[in-house]
Amino acid sequence: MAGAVAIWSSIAAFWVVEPVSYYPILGIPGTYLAFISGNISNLRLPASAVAQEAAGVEPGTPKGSIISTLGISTSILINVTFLTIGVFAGSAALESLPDIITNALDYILPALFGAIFANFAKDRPKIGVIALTISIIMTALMNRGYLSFLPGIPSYAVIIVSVFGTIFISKKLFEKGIIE
Amino acid sequence: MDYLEIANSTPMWIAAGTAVLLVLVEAIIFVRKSIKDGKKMGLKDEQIKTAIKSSAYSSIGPSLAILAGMISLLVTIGGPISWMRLSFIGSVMFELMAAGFGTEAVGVELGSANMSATAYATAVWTMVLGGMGWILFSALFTDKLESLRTKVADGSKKLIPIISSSAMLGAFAYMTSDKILMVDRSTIALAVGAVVMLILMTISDKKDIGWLKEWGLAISMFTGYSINFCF
Repeated sequence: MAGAVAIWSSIAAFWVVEPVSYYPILGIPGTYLAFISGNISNLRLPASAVAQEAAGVEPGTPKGSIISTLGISTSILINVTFLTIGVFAGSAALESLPDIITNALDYILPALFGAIFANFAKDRPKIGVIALTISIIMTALMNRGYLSFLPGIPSYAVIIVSVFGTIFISKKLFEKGIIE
Repeated sequence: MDYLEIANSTPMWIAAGTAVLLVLVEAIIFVRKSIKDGKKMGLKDEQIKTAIKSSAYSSIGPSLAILAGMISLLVTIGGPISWMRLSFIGSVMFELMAAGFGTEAVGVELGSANMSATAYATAVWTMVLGGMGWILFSALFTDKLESLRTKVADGSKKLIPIISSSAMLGAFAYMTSDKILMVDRSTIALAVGAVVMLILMTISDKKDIGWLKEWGLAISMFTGYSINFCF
């Protein structure tokens, strides 16, 4: 139980924030598929977003939802294939992969997140700037220990404030006519 | 009994295999249904093909990264569970942390010589319980998310996409700001990934180059991480 409590306190915020934030892109069947297969922010969401962008459909529409589902299902098929081959190839075979490849893999995630963020921000740059500012400030605060009055690892505070803060500010700015 | 014997035993493979099979079957069912329904809705064949191709190419990079994560898991908690966790509900970024918390809770460091069957079991429980939250929440609340979205937007049609974008951008800003502040090679990877993506997407929009959209994410990721080899 102790282990469970530890992991819950670290990631419980994500249980709420992730479905809420990603649902508009994933669509209803997409959200279900994505959560049942996991690895959402690093694989399912990019697959869904890229598929919709490439097919030229608008997220949140029925067509968007179909394409998103297609994208996510494809990512599942590819991912599971890779993992299955990998697990049966055995750790010995995998560990003998050249160092250069394994080192590079560390950098896939930052490159991925940068690209996805840019992809969404290009359509709404003002919101992108707001989101980035809020989360950089929050992350800086957390790194300097200002958030340590919160239980556990406060990264949940960062994501909650980033997501809901951005929503709140964008809404206010929209009402003032600064964003449309 | 050595915990690795348990971890890699046949019953574990069967249990893990069942979960993975479930996901695979669902993916296949959804693909076929989506194609059928999509055509009924008026989606063109090229759109469907493009969707499949673009997500396939974009899945390769992240799948490799997940594979790398699986290797670390493999060594400590055995094949069946790592395979299962990363195909079913789990997220590579959290599983290692969860497994670590699990073993710590019984006073053992993940991967050390003291790993016992109990520590292993605890690790598994922790990972699964951690993943359950996501599933519970999305299963119970997904249908309400649409009404939530409309409510927050006060019914204003224009506000709805803004709310959606804000949520997305907020979430991904969180993912990126950590790396931005670290100011190291991952920052470079991030920035390059972002810039390349921007350039590619703008070009493909202006000149209507279909294949660029399909390969865009994959190229941006690849450039982002290989840039680090130049220095």
